Amino acid sequence: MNARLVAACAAVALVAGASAAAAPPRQPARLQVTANEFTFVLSRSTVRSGPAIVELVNFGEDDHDLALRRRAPGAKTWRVRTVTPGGVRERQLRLAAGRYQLWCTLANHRALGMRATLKVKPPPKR
Amino acid sequence: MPSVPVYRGRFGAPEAERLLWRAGFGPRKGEARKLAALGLDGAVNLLTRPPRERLTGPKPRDSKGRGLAPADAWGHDHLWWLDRMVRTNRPLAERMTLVWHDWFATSNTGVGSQGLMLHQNRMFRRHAFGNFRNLLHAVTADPAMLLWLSGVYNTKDSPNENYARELMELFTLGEGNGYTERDVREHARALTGFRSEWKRGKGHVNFRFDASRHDAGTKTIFKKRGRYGWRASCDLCLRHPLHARFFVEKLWSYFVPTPPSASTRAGLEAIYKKGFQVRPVLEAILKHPALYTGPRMVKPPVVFTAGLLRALDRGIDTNAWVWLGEGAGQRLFYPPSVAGWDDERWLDTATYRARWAIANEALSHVTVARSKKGKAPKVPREAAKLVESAYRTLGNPSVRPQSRRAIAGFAKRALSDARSDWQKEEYPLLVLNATRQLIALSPDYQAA
Repeated sequence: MNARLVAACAAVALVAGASAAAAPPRQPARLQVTANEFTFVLSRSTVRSGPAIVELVNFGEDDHDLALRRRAPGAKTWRVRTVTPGGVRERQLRLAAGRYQLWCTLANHRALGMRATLKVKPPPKR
Repeated sequence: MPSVPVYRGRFGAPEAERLLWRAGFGPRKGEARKLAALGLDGAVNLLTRPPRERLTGPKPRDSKGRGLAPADAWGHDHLWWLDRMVRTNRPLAERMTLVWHDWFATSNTGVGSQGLMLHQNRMFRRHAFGNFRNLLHAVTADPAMLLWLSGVYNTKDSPNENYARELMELFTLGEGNGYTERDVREHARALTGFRSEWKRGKGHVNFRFDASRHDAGTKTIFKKRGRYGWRASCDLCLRHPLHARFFVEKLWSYFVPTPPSASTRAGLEAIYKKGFQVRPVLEAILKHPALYTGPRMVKPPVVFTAGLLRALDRGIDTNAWVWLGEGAGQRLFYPPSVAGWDDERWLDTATYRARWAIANEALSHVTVARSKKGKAPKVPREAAKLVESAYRTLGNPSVRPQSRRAIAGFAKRALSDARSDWQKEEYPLLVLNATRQLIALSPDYQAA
């Protein structure tokens, strides 16, 4: 085997090795929020920080929306726009670790009980 | 003791193919032939006593290429289960899970938690071939069922009859079959005591039996008196003289479209009465001549879909299966009522249209078309070869001679319409795609 061929094979092996070692892209965390009159039920109470997909499903008879904000000064409020009965809408966002409040911003739905808490865990230490 | 007849005719690929559709989700390419080689006993044994579960084929993805989140994303519950139907090496276990889902039909519209529905689904799978008594006990205490039929609201101070009524009407005896309204009320009292807690943001949690909510008094059920609890309530139904008949007729109806003869039914009842075991009854049904010599049976929409995907070796890669399933009349985890799906309504003008779309979507991955550079793929130009190729794509399914003739006639006519050069180039591609679609939509492929 000539030197150039050896080098080429080595390069191929190196590339193959590198791609084999690369971790698969991390799937975003998923959270489903089921709305009904007048409750929010989360599919899980804890998710990990980072990219996330939050989905609002409306099982009720009224329109509902979803606001999500970390309990921290100046934290951003994320919103999932109004979902009509039987509808579903998702929002991709990036969640920092902490505790989040979730509520429906429509009419007095929050006061009637459409609120919940979500815990976002920091990423695991490597 | 009455015996159950066993099929003694030829057990070749067509019979194995029918068995795989009835007791699973149809054959993968070449699977019917392999199963036929085992003979009837071997084939049935492989289905009812399957190896450890192995899911083979591409991992499921949604339309955006993301992994599935069955508890956390709308429609992913349906995709998750459909994926198991497509990739499993235990098709009958999956099919029995579907049978129990229909038998004890629970809908997420009343539960409101995909997580609890999946929990119930796993329970059904565990009991796929097991003991019906254990299954009935597990269903009665299952959280999704406790929500769906108001078990958690059934207390000694305010008895709720929902579950008690369906326990007899739909699960163990049949409508008005050997029970009275008083039995319903007394069963409801026996079934009191289950509860859950409502937590803001979490919904119903901590499902359990709470003796303080149970009516411990004496009940009279089926003319017997006792301080019955929920397990005794279930057992009274199972020991009811009309239960075994209800059970075998209902189980039979999932596999054979015509009712069993009186002697077959009596034989199946005798098998079942030995201890409420499902597997031996199932084996007797799957070996019965009526399954192989009787009329064809319409495939439920998810069975048709999963079968197409198995034949095409295509995994779950689109959310379309959710709305297509719904359009064809079967959205998993959302049966239309506690009575389950109505098998006599699988085919109407609306649902058949959805089946057309299902076939179209399933076949879209093998559609032949010119490349972007205008290069045409090689396809046969002769009608007979083109039709052969279309059958091969679908794993050479059994199709009756009259359907074969109709499909071959279509291909021949369509190809003969080509006059100009461009038509002669283009038509074979179009006709091949159309022929595949016609095979998948033929009455033969819609029923097995």
